[in-house]
Amino acid sequence: MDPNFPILTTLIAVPFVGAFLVMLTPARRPEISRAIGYAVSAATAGLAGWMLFDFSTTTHAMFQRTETHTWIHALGVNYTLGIDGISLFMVLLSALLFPIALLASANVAVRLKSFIFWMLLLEGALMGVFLSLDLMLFFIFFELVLVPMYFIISGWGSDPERRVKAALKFFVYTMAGSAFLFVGILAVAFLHARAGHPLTFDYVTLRNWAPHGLSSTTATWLFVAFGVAFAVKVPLFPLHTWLPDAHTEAPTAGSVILAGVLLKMGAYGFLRFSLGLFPNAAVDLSWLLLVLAAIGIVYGAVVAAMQTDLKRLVAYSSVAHMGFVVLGIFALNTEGIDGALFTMISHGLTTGALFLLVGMLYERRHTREIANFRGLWKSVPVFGGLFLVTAFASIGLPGFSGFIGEFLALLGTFLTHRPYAIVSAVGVILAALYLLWAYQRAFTGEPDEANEHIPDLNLRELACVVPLLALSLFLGFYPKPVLEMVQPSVKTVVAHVDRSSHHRQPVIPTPKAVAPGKKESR
Amino acid sequence: MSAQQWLDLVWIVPALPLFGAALLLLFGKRIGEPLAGWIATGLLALSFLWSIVMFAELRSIPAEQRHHVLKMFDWISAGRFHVSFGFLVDPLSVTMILFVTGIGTLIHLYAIGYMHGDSRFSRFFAYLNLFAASMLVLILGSSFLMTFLGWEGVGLCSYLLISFWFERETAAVAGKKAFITNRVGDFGFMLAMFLIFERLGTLDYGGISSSGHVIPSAFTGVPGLGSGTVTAIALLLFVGAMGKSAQIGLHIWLPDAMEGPTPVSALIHAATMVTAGVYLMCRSSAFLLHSGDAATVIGYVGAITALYAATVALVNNDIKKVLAYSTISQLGYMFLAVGVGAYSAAIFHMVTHAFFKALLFLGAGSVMHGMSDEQDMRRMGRLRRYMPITAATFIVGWLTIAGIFPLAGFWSKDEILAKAWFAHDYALWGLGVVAAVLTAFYMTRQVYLVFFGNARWDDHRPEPDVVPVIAGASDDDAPAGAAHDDSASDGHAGHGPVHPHESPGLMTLPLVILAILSIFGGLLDLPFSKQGWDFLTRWLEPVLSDGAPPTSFSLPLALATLASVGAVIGIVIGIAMYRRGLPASGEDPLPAKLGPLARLFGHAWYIDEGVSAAVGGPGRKTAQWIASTVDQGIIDGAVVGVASLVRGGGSGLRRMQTGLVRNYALAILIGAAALLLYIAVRAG
Repeated sequence: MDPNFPILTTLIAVPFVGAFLVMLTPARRPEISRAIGYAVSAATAGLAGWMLFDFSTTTHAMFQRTETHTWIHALGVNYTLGIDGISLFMVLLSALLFPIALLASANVAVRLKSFIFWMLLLEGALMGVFLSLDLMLFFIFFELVLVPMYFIISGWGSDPERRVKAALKFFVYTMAGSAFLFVGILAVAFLHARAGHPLTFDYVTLRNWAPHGLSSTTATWLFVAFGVAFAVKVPLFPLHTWLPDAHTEAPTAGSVILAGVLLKMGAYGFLRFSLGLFPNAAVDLSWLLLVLAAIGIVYGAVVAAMQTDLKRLVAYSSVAHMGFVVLGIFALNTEGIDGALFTMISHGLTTGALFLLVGMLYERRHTREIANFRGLWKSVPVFGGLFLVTAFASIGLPGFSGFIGEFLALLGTFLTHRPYAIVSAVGVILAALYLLWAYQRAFTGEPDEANEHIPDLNLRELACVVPLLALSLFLGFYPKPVLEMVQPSVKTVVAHVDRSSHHRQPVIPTPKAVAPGKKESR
Repeated sequence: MSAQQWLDLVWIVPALPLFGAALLLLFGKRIGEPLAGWIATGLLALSFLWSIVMFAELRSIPAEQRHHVLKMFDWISAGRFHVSFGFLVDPLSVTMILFVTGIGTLIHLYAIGYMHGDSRFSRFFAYLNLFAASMLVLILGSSFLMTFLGWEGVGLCSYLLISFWFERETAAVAGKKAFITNRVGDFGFMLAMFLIFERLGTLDYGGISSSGHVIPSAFTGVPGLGSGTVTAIALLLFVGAMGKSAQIGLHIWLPDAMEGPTPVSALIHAATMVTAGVYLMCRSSAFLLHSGDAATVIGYVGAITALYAATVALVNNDIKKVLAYSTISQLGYMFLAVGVGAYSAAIFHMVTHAFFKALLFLGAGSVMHGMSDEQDMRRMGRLRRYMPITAATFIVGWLTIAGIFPLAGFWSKDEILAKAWFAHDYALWGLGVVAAVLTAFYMTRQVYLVFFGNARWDDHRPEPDVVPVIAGASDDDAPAGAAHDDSASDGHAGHGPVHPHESPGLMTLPLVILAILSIFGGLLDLPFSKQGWDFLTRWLEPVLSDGAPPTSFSLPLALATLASVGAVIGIVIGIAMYRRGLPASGEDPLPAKLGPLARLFGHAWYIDEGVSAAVGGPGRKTAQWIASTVDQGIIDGAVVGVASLVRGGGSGLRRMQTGLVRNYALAILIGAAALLLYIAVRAG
């Protein structure tokens, strides 16, 4: 690839241009907008895949393929993009999930044109979130994401009454969190300027200044301001109650993107901005986030087990899974953060698949109440089998990607904050409980009248789910490509935190090397 | 090729059944019956043959070099944590793969006959092959994490196979219960791995416990591994082992697991998977050797489990449940052995137990097969006349498990008890002997109720009295009028007249082979070390070092005689009580003799019922309270409350629901702008 080709801008621009094109098409020809939707999201996926092969793990630069253009000179706002191992996989995950979400929306009949428009707008905004290296630019994309998601939930949700309410709750709740972020961003930039530097929102500049430039009290307050916004997005206990409502009411595509990508914005924010700008405060307050994460893991699982609505159950399971992500991040070591990142990817695949399957079930039965299902494994064996595989992938059975992520997140936490890891490991038991219990109630037994004669999965539906599961299985046995590519970036983050604070990595003994096939000396 | 090069091909052992599983999962329907069964059986038989090659190659190298690690690729590599996807070939793992593939092949063969006509025939063999592959990974894994991979794989297969007839509610519930109970054990296993990595920096067996000789240096090379840490690691691993190997407390899933087809009970829930915990303990003997406290705990948990399960088996009337509790009891013996440091004795008993318990389970399956799936022993009797091969082989199994000279069980059980005696742990020895007497009795009761005495299957059907009969409970659970297909009727009590008949040759051949193995299995490890007849102990010696053998010969002989006398007493009482089967009333004389104990035993000491009541009662109520009161009431209520407060009370709440997003966005932007102004002024 030509090193000067602005691939990152292209990644953001392609979906936006696609959305613009959709706007130009006549509403009475929905098949044109659908075709544009497929083509544009597939093209974006292709570009993201291309970038994967272009990505270097040997470079010493913190960010690759950076692009900088002055935007609002007077305010010091620049258009700065760049990518590292952390954002790379968020971009890839988004690029993978959008075509699948669109494919799963083949049955959307009303106002298809607007639906595709909002979806493509959402994709462009999400690319912007993960690629921005200017705080103001990041904030704009971060907020921009809300708008299409709001309209997707309120316009195409399942229940015309409740979907508007749920969308509004989602919008207001996360917007309220963002207000703190906005203030925080302005404060960092202005404090930096007051210290005699030119006004800038450039992430790298602020990252190099803030850890020693801010007083520890200020840093703590700013960490909290950023943290609230990100915690709402993750969502971290007790700021999670918008999630089940939004998920339950959202159309399938909305749920897939919401769980698969939107929640990761919060975790990404913690990892990139909270640790980058306020490493001292992150170390000092890590206990708080670990406590909330551990509570979230156990609490999310317990509440999930009690849900009667299958989609709400999956939504609460996300609270538990994202708890592992936050846990791993605030373990503040390479193992934990690797685990967090891996869980983010894995959760996008497996929970995405779960939401797809629940959506397909809803299309057939027009209900999500577990009590209304019975014996589905017998009446729709392929669906039942795939749902079971997905459930075990989500449980984190070794061999699936979920295990690698959770294991590393727990291991990292164990090394630095043992009690939190022990409590959180209970989540491993509970995950099996709520999913297998739900499976038993809905899928086993003899099917009754209502569940007996429903069609099994068709090829299109298989094409949505199977790639996600195959990828989860592949990464479960061969996580090396991902772990290798994120490693330099994660090490940079950990080193940054250690260097800027009193935080030190625990000492792990080096095992004595035992040559394969050779007997150790006595 | 050199021996090392041959041993590098060990990956073929699990790969063969894995290939079979993939093939049958994808194309099973097209392949159909009986070819699917033959493919699965053939692949596992090949795996057995390849295991023999591995055994031969390993034997060809000097004893102290029998430790070969095959590293296939880096599995997980993150920060300082590195685990490779690799296999370890040493005497312990080779012993295990030999008996797992060998017994597995016989049970696969039997299943071709047993599963005949099932609508999901191919799927069954796909799961069985997947199980075999997972079990082989568990055994051959070169690190704790590789073992954990197989460990969870067998757990998955156990779930799939217990609930194989998932149309039956009880089967589906039992499968789920097995998986979740095992997860409780896995919690301990995972924490143990974290602790091992934290203190030793690796999860590889090579660096930890590959050999009894290496351990002290490995430990002294690591500062800060105090005895408390070692004890913690050992006990956490044991928690994992308790789940998989159904030790008291976490045993509650195994009796329910009998909902699965009988070949599954024989293969997974008797011969192989449930011994994984014992294997894990032997693999981790490095830690146990350095923690007497942990070893004591393990020994006593094992002994108490052995005794506990034997008492429950006394009064149970379900032919498979008696064997299930018997399995729990025998696993207890193996942990007893681990507790006194007799690792090779534990492995020896594991192997002989695999022979005779697989034999007994398959025999029970053969009985059910010929009895229209009847499982209640009170409705059997006199069956030796109708199924002579099943009866003869079952009798061999009975005498073997009772520990009658010179059958395999005599030697392996005796070795454990003798080792307990010489470890000066007389309480453990005593518990073991009492359990042995009870074992002889309940097995005699089973044999006489099933094969001897009066025939009770053609007349009345006695109602269950003291002992709850769980088999056939699905009658009540099935929805009224729901269509029953054949596959869902395994556990149903016989409807209509019963015509007992012998099973086909495909099923009786494995019985005969297993009976022969049960008779001569003792030859693997005779207690005559001077003559060099303790083959298994010598073979395992580079990996597992048991305590020094006793110097004198007369004391072990006396102990063995004593144990044999105990076994004979148990048998004699059993025969005296059940010689004629059951009286006309159909009432078992035993509960009356046991008095109040009968109730306790009949309810399995209320452990399962207690756990169910706690989880289903207060546990569920608490969860419900959290989900409704805390989550929806307090947390979400607070959010809505704050929102309405901001908007100035009730009218705001109503307007919020009308959907004026712009107002909100505007309000937030104004607020943010005000703050911005404030900061700008201060900054300026």
